[in-house]
Amino acid sequence: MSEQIDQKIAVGFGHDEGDIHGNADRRCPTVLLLDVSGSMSGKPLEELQAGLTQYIDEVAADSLAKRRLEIAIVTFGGTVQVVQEFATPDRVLIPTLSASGDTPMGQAIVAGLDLLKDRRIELSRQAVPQYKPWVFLITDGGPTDDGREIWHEGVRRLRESRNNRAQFFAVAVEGANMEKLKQLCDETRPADEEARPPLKLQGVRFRELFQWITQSQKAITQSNPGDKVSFPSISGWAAGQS
Amino acid sequence: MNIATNLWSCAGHSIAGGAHIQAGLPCQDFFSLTSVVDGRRVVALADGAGSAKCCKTGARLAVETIISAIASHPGSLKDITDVAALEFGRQVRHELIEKSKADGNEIGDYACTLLAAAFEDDCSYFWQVGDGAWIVETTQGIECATWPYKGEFNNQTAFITSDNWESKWTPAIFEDAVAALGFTDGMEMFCLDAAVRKPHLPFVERIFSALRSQPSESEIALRIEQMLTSPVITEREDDDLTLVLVWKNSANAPG
Repeated sequence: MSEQIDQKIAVGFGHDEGDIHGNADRRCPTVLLLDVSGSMSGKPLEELQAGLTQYIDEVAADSLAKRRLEIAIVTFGGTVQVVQEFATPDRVLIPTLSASGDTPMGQAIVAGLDLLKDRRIELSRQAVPQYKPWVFLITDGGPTDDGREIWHEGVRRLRESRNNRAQFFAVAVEGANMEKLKQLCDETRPADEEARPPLKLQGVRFRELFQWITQSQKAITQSNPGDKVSFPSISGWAAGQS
Repeated sequence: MNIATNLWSCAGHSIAGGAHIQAGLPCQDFFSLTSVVDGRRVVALADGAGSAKCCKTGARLAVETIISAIASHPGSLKDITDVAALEFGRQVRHELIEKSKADGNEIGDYACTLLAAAFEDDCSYFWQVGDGAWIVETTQGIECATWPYKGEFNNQTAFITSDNWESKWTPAIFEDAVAALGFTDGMEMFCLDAAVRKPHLPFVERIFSALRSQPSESEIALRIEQMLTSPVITEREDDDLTLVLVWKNSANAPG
């Protein structure tokens, strides 16, 4: 057949990137809630920074993940800061983390889920297919806003978000209030979802944690929305797992 | 070759998606382009539901049955009523039910979407159940003849095998079509602008414009294949992909 074709004719119909719709990629919104309270200073913060940098670099280099992930980053330490609004990995500016202050976890959850809610509404409005969003909470402490209205608001919002199929992962760094985190995971779990208790990080293996997130999200972004996807083992970073 | 038998040209191509190749699955799309009979050209395509065990067989049987039903329907296309057109869908379901009985299966094991179109000199008719779409170019411009049906989640749709298929059966008729583009759901994100429910013109115009120079069917078939396998597409979509094109030859075109 090909000998009939004039060599000068463009391959296919000559489509290039400019002809592709801006929303031609399905999205997996990912929220990182990162504890940068005073107790994280030193080695934990250095390793969290290294893990985060490696994560963004790796997903930005993956041909599907770089177009399908949208990452937002919220830090909490003394204050809550949206250091990165939702962006595809190639557009994420990796923040320089610094540790100080207490642990306003409830407020950080609310801030992160506000971003997520707005983004999901916008993606739906534009009819962009969505994977289940991911929400990661990484902390070495417990909420210092526990008992206050903002904490209850955070719990309520997380429950609502998980009922809307957000995947929630709590990662406990040495020193974290495991009991409080377990309570948070249990109280916000949808009735039809298996329990997913907080996972304890081995030492400061943030790089292995983010490597796992990278591999899992590559698997997700290679699938179709709604497909069941099996994740790699968490034994490389989680304590007490085989 | 007389003009009447050569009024409409058509070409198409299917490829297995990257995800299916990785999982060792065949392409679950099927399409067929018939030759012109009595001045009528009929084409159809189907996307087998990945969750149904005989979906490839279902897609093939659905396409072949509806083509034969439409091709043999007496009278001219424009006289086909919506009620009469439903009969095409019923024939497809009848064949699928017979096949499922013979094989000891359920009709749902053959689940597939179905898109069909028929073309005569002054009438083009489109039918669809499920996702994917038909885009038509008329003397007035480019528009969607049908629109993909999506359930609550984006990966859910309706199938010809669904109990409620009749309510999802969308016919459309045009008198002044000059070309048409049909595709399964893998091509939706390229060909459609979902936010405004219209064709994504920068993408589809390139395709329609290639038809204006009276190309041969084999040239367009090759171009479709090249497009479906190009990185612009495959880096974004790893589902099975099928696209068919039908275009009207000008009356003085060489036969």
